[in-house]
Formats: sequence, C-alpha cells, structure tokens
Amino acid sequence: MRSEDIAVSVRNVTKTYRLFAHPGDRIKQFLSFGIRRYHQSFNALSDVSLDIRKGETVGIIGPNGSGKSTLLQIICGILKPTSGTVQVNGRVSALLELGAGFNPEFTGRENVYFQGMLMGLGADVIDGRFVDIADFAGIGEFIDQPVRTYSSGMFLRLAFSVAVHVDPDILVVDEALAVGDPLFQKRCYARIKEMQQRGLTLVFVSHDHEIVRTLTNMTLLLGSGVSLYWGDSREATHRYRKILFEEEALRIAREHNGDDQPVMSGKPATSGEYGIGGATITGLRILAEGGEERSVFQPGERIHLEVSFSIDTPLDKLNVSVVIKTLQGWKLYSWGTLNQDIAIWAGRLDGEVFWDKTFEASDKPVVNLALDGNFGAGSYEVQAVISREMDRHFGSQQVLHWCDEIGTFRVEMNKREYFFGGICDLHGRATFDA
Amino acid sequence: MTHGVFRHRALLVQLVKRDVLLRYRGAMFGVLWIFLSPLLMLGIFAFVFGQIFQARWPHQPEGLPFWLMLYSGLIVFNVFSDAVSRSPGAVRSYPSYIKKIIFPVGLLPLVPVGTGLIHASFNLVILILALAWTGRLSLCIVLLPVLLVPVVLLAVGLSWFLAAWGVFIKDMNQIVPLFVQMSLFLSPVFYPISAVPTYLRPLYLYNPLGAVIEAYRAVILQLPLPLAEWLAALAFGGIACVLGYVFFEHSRDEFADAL
Repeated sequence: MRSEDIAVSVRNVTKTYRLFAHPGDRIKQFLSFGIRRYHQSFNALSDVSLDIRKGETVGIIGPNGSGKSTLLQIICGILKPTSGTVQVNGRVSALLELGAGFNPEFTGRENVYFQGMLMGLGADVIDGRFVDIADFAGIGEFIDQPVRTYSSGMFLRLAFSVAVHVDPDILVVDEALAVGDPLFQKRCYARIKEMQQRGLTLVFVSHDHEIVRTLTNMTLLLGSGVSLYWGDSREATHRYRKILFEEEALRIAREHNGDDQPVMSGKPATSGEYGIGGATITGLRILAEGGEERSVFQPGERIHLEVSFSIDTPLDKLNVSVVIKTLQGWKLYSWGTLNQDIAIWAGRLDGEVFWDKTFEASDKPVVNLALDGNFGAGSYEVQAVISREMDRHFGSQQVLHWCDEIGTFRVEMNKREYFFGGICDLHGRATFDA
Repeated sequence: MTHGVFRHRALLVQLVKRDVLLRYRGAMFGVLWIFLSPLLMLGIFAFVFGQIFQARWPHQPEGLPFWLMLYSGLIVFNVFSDAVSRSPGAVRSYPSYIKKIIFPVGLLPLVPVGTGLIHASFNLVILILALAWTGRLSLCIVLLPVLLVPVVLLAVGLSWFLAAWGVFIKDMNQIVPLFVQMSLFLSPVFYPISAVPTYLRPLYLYNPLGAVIEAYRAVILQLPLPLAEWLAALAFGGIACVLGYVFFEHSRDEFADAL
C-alpha cells in the first residue's frame, strides 16, 4: 500500500486519561514533577493501529465505553494520543455532535456562516454554497430566525446540512449519519453516497450493525480500548454480535445460577457462529411444500425450514428459531417455536408447547418451521438459532448456538403472471366501480 | 504563533463580532449601549471628581477638566480588565469547541481582548470628541491607538495564561476579577505616578499599564512622551505575551481531558 493512498494512518495509539479525585490534585501533580502520583490512570485506548485508504468507508463498532469516540476525537486531532502517532492526509470535517458551535441567539444564516468558517471555508465559498445548504436543510423562512426558535428536528437538519456541504476529504461522524424524518434521512444517505463517489473518506461510529454492514467494507471492532478485529465489515459485525450475546448470556447465567460461569460446552465458536453451547445446530434444509429440497421459490409458496440439531446436555425451555434477511442485512422476519408457544399460551392456537419439552443428551431432534414465502424477487439468507428462554416471553435469553447464513434461497417472479415490486407481498387487491 | 492567529483572522473577527453582538442582542437599546455605558460613566466622573472633589492634576491646564484625564486612564485600564477578568472562562465556557469540533483553541482567549479593543475604540471616539469640545485637540491623538500596544500584549499574554489555568481550576473565575478590581486602584488611574512613593515608582513606570496610562496623559496634556518607559513596557508586554502563549500551548493537550 503506497503512503499517498492512505487517508488516515493510526499507529500504536494509546490514550491514557489521568483521573483526579480532587481538582487540587491536578495542581499537586503539576508541581510534583512526576515524583508522586496524585491520580489514577485509565486507558481509553491501548495500542490501536489502522490504515484507512483514500475513498474508503470505515465503520467503528464496539460496546459503550470501548473507546470509539476517543478514537474519532484522536483522528480529528481534538485529542492528542498519549503515545503513538496519527497521520491524516486531507481536510478533516468532524460531525461528533450535531450543532456543536451553534449559538442559539444567532440566526440560522449567521450560524451557517460561522460553522462554515469553523470548518475552514472562506466567506466567499460559503456565499456560493449557501443556497444549497439552506435548500438541503429545507427549513424555509426560519433560516433568518434565531436558532433558539427552531424545533430540534430543524436544528439537526441545518447542522447536518452544513456539515455535508463543506466537502471535506475525510468526514468523521459519531452516531449521526442520518437525522430527521425518513424523507430527510433518505436525502442524508443520498448525499453521503454522492460524496463517497467523489472520493470522500468516511469514518463513522454506529451502533446499527445493518448500516455498518451496508455502507462500509472495512470495520474496526473495539472492546475496552483494544482493537479486537480490523477488516471485513461482515466479519466484524458477526464478532460484535457474538460479544454482545456472550455478555448477555453471562448476565443471565449470573442471575439464574448465581455464578459467573455460563454452562459452557467448550466448543470454540468460529465466525458467523456462536453461542454458549449445550445444543448444536447440525443442518438446515429448505424444502418446498411437497418435501423436495429447493432453493428457488415463487412468491407466496410455502417454505419449510427444517432445522436439525443435537443435544449435548439435558435441556428444556428451548426455542428453535430462524431469521430471514435480505443480502443487505435487513431483517424481514424472525420466528420460532417460542413464538408459536406464546400463541398457544394465549389461546390463539392449539397444539403442543415446545418450550415444555425436555431433551436428553445425544437426542437429535428436527424442527420444521413452515412459513408463507410472501417475498419479492431477490435472494434471502437464513439464520438459525437455538436459545434457552428462561422467561416465557423472551425476557431472558441464552443463545446456545447461532448460525449466520446457514442457508440461502431465491424468490423469482414470472413477470407475465404475477408481479409486484418491493421485498414483501402485501396481497394487493383493487376494487372499482366502472 | 502569529502564523496560527493570522491564518484564522477571519474566524477571530467573527468570534469577536459574535461576542460583542451577543452582549447587546435583545437589549432595547442594542448596540447603542457601547456608547451609552461609557457616557454614563463619564457623567458620574464629571460629577464626583469635578463637582464634589474639585480634584486637580499636576500640569493640568485651564479648560481641561480633571475627569477627562481620569477617563483617558480608564480607557487603557478597561482594555486590560475587559480581557483579563473574562479570561478564566474564555476556554472553559466553550467545552463543545474543545471536545466536539476541530477548532483553533488558541483564538478563544483572544476574543475578550478583541471585545475590549472594540469597546476601547468607542471610548476613544468619545475622548476625542470631548477633547475637541474643550478645544485641546492636537494631531498627537493619532498616536493613542498605537500607544496601547504594550497593554494589549500584556492582556493577551495574561489571557492565554489565565484561560489555561481556568480550565483546570474553577476558582480562577472568582479570584481573577477580584485581582483586576484591586489593580484598578493600584494602577495610576485615579492619581498620577508622581504621587506614588519614590521607591515604588519604577514598578509603576515600567509596567505596561502604568507606562501606557502616563503616555496617554502626556498626549492629552501635550507633554513629551515617556518614550524609554514605554519601550520598556513594550518589551515587558512582549515577554508576557510569549510566556502566556507557551504556557497555553503546553497545557492545551489536556483541555479536552479536563473539561
């Protein structure tokens, strides 16, 4: 990789905060010239390295307090790393908090000019872009009113509009890729796409896995200030979800068993697959109504998802479920045996409750989940999950085994017979007097 | 240092403009207050010192009222006090500028200085009009803005220094205005330096406040300028400015951590 291709280079960055118990301790520390310590240290980031190529879009994910925002601030140059180096090629614009620097007493117009100057534009450049900025924000006459009279939505829209019209080389965004109503959000994404096409390097933090997966190709996963993974976004989001579930499982285990150890089978989880063990998904077959294995369906056809699994330790309170997603990662439907059990408990369905069943070690049960394939044309992926539900209504879940992309199927339409747009069939029916 | 400030001069102008406008925005008389408040002060001085105390200045010629001498000193002092008394909050009150946006933080302590200079320029206009009214206007008044430089340098240096301290120690907000008020009486605003005990006099003559105030009076009285003292004060102000900047730059990396 040549150095001129690199937009941001972070090398072995460590950020240590000094925590003073009392404001006076800071002065004592200053005057003691390091002979005594009056503070505790806290590592917000430890030895993080990454190279971001020009034009690349990079996500940063991780649990709260994992150092995501600190890293963004260091990339922007707002914070200095305690050790390590950061090199940035190009003009950076930061969107760490929308409207930071806005003064409520001044009008929208005045704030736009001020904000533009903060981001390094001259007044003449802002003159040229002002109409675009005001149009994009779409707040009409309010542009000449003091910002304090704005609704919070208008405020955010104006702030966002300025930020995306500065035309930076590198845009750093914390949790605010899209704001406002759905229509405005759509414009936000369109604008970001447009900027990406013009070669923008985008670095952003988000808690939304799907946005990270769809917008980025590279993602950094942080945990407690340490870089856990840096690479393919799909892999990074898988691993992140795994961490979240392990944390949740640990919490539930603590609640129910009173100790820190979840029931572990010791099975090493690979990517796209995780869980605390106890049961293992061994396969998924996608079947048509007649029982034949198929991968292509017509809209509306009944699809049978047959999950087979093996039991490693005696278990009850199980839930076997599937998730159907588009390739972009949008979840279309998730449903499982517990969903059916809930309907039975509520008296809305008759049948046997799966949750009450007890399985013994070395059992190899098969569960068939049948659903109406009311999907539009496209490809879909299936995830299968076995979880132990301590609560009857999903209140307390331990994931025993989760498999991403264990199967895929495609839905095709005959345009001359039955046709609709979009990803789900709402069974439209037109009536008319003619 | 000057490079950074110069590069962001447009931003600095905007910041000062906002600072001035913000103070008067929403007030019934608006920006008129910039004129109204010094005029009111001037009225009080004229009444107290002219009518009640009937005070007189050494070398004070007939027709030049005492309060005008006092006013000229006050203009100089106000540049200093406007800036310094607000400096502890100059950075501290803008945490979002420090933590949320990419911002040349070094500009923030300059804002109160800029605002002080705006006020001073209005005060100078009033002073010049008053001088014209007493018929003692001379060409020397063009020197008044230039003579102010040592005080401006001192104010800038102290502002950088105190703004950095103010980030770490909240008490500065209480302490500094107190000291500024004390320095009003310690600097030769209400009295001439010649009234100061001899052994303390160098302290008055060579510090930027004393030297510039003396120089202002010399201009008004059309006496020779105390040039040597003024140059010494200029050097002193320059040193304060550099030291303040060095200290500010040294501690700015920790601002975001402390706020």
